[in-house]
Amino acid sequence: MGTLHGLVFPINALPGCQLVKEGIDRISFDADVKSEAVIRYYERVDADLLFYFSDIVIQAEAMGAKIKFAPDAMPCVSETAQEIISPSPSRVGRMEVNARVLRRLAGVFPHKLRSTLVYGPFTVAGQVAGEQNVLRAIIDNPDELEGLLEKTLECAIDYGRYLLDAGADVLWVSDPLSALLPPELFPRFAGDYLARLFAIYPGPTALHICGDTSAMIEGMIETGAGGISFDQCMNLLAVEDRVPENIIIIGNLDPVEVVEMMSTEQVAAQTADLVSMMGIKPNFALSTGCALPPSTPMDNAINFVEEGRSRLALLAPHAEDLAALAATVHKGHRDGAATLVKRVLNRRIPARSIIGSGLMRAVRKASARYEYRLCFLPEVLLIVDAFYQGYKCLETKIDAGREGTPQIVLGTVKGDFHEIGKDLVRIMLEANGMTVLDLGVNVDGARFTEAVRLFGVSVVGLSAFTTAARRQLSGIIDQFRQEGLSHVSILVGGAAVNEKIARDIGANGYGRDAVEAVKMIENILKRSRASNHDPKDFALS
Amino acid sequence: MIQKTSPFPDRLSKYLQLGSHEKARQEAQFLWEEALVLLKAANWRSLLTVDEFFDVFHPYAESSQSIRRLLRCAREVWLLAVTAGDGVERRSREYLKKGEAFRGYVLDRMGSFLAEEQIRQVDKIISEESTGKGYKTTRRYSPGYRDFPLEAQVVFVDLASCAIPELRLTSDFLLVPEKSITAIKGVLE
Repeated sequence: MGTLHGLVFPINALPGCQLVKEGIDRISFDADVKSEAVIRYYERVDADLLFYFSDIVIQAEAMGAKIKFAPDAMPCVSETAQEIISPSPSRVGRMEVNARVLRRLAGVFPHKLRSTLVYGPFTVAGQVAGEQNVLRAIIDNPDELEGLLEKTLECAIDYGRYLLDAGADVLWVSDPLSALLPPELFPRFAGDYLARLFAIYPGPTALHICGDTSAMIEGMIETGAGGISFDQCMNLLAVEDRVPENIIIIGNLDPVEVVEMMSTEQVAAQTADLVSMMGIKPNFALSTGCALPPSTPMDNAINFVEEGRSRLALLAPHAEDLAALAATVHKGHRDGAATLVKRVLNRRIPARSIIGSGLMRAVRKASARYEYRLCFLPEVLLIVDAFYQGYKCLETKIDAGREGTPQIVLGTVKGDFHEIGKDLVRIMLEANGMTVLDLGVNVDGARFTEAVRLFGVSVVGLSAFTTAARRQLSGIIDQFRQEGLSHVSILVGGAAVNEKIARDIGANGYGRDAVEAVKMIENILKRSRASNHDPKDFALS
Repeated sequence: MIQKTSPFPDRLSKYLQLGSHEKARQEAQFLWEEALVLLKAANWRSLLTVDEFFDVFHPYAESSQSIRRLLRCAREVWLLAVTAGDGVERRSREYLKKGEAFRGYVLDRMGSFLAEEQIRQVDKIISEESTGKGYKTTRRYSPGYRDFPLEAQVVFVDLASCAIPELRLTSDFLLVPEKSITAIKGVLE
């Protein structure tokens, strides 16, 4: 499986720039300053895999592109290459700087793995020739593009070998521009070149491509990379089945919206959540979905690694049992779920882990697959049923129960007696750990506003199946506004409404079905908690 | 017409969106058998002249542009009502109350499927009979479509009461049992 399994590390070491007085421009050229920044960074951030503060344009610069440097920003291409140069890394100053930093890292952290950060031939081709030109050449002039890719590949191979000779243990390749390729052209213009690059090294390798790579996962795997690093926009639960067990799934805490922008406690909570979902996979490495920005608070980077490592350690002894439970629930086996919960309880696995990494993992995986259109609603519901069957065996073991102040009020509006859709939303919300007050059917505006006042609820779901019920919706929404409850986020759903109607009547969002409604409510509550903002600000209307 | 012994229809898998999940398909098979046991199918149809139709459905039909458009060249109007009974929907609710979302949802959808299958069959018979007599027919049209008001259900429930005595309305003119459908269908000149 390779040595990346079970590691915890943020990608790159850019926040290290905060630990030296020199700017990024100076760090980029001066091996002493860069070493100091990186070593200080890793003295604080106890990562398992070390990077050397890499910038994305170093190969393009070596091949002739002009680069703009600034003290407070990462280097970027200012002008494409007039003439393509085939560089020798040992003669290119900034490449040599990185090799020297790697050697110093080996001296200071001899027991830790160090990684290259080489950029993919397609990305570098875009930097030296212009991204639009390269993307156009895919259609207009593929032969010429392939000639350029041979040169950028040669540069990447030379640079990769140079860094490996300097003490890197892992060949990490990032190829962000290749995410823009049509999936069917990925092998020809990116995948085949990446495969030749990975072929130079028999040790651990990893490929990172930014953005939504769901259409090219198989192509990424065919490159021979030993690990696939996923962007934060990817739901790992939806794609994990497509990654063979001998390939490491690396990911994917949001480096910006979480690690950079949230509080230290929230970073810990989000990290714990990611580990809870993915930590039971034998082929998982905890990382960020991309490089941490230079301005990331140091405490957040530290907390990500520490929380992640301790959570993984807690989960590790039980991973196999919890994975079996999650798989059983995912297959929709109700009785099997109950049997396995009892078995893992006998093995003294904490109830919270059984819920998070066993039962709820299966529900969230089903929801993720639904979101990616890999399954339909009945499959999700079957899994929710198995979840409940397992959960019943645990109810007495949970200290802080799911009973409590409701977070969401639901009901079918006055004049409408349809309850199936509303019930499904309630069941799904509860299966996702939320507390719901279900007002039932034929509910008028006053009962909704009364419940909201009584419990201080900030999210309300209104269901309407008939045309007559739909006519009630705008009145109820107006009633909320008139009674000074405009901070309440109101979502609507049911056969009588759609997204346009929801907008027209002033709802804060529309849930096409139970899974979508739950996702929307989860996002509203999560983002509301993260910033203590008014939940309606985050509704998706 | 679907009978108590009808095998699981191919179309139902697609209708229920079962996908390839093995357990979901197994469970659905079991629920289909349960649905057939609970099915209390009944149907009714009646033929009126256009004048009679507008008279009986006064004032709901004449105020509806869409009905007038539908029946512009019609000579007669069929009234249709079907129900799958309340057994399926009651069991569906029981499952949901017990927190069995899959069974509750799938059985509810099966109830809808059964009602739709019935009205499709009645519709088909009417079309074939009309064709045999050399007439074309319009599509089916139900109260609640566009400007044909739900209040028109009152007339259907009244007229169909002998054939489907359990058919009734909520105060908001929704059919009970829920898995029931009413419609009109014009026979063209």
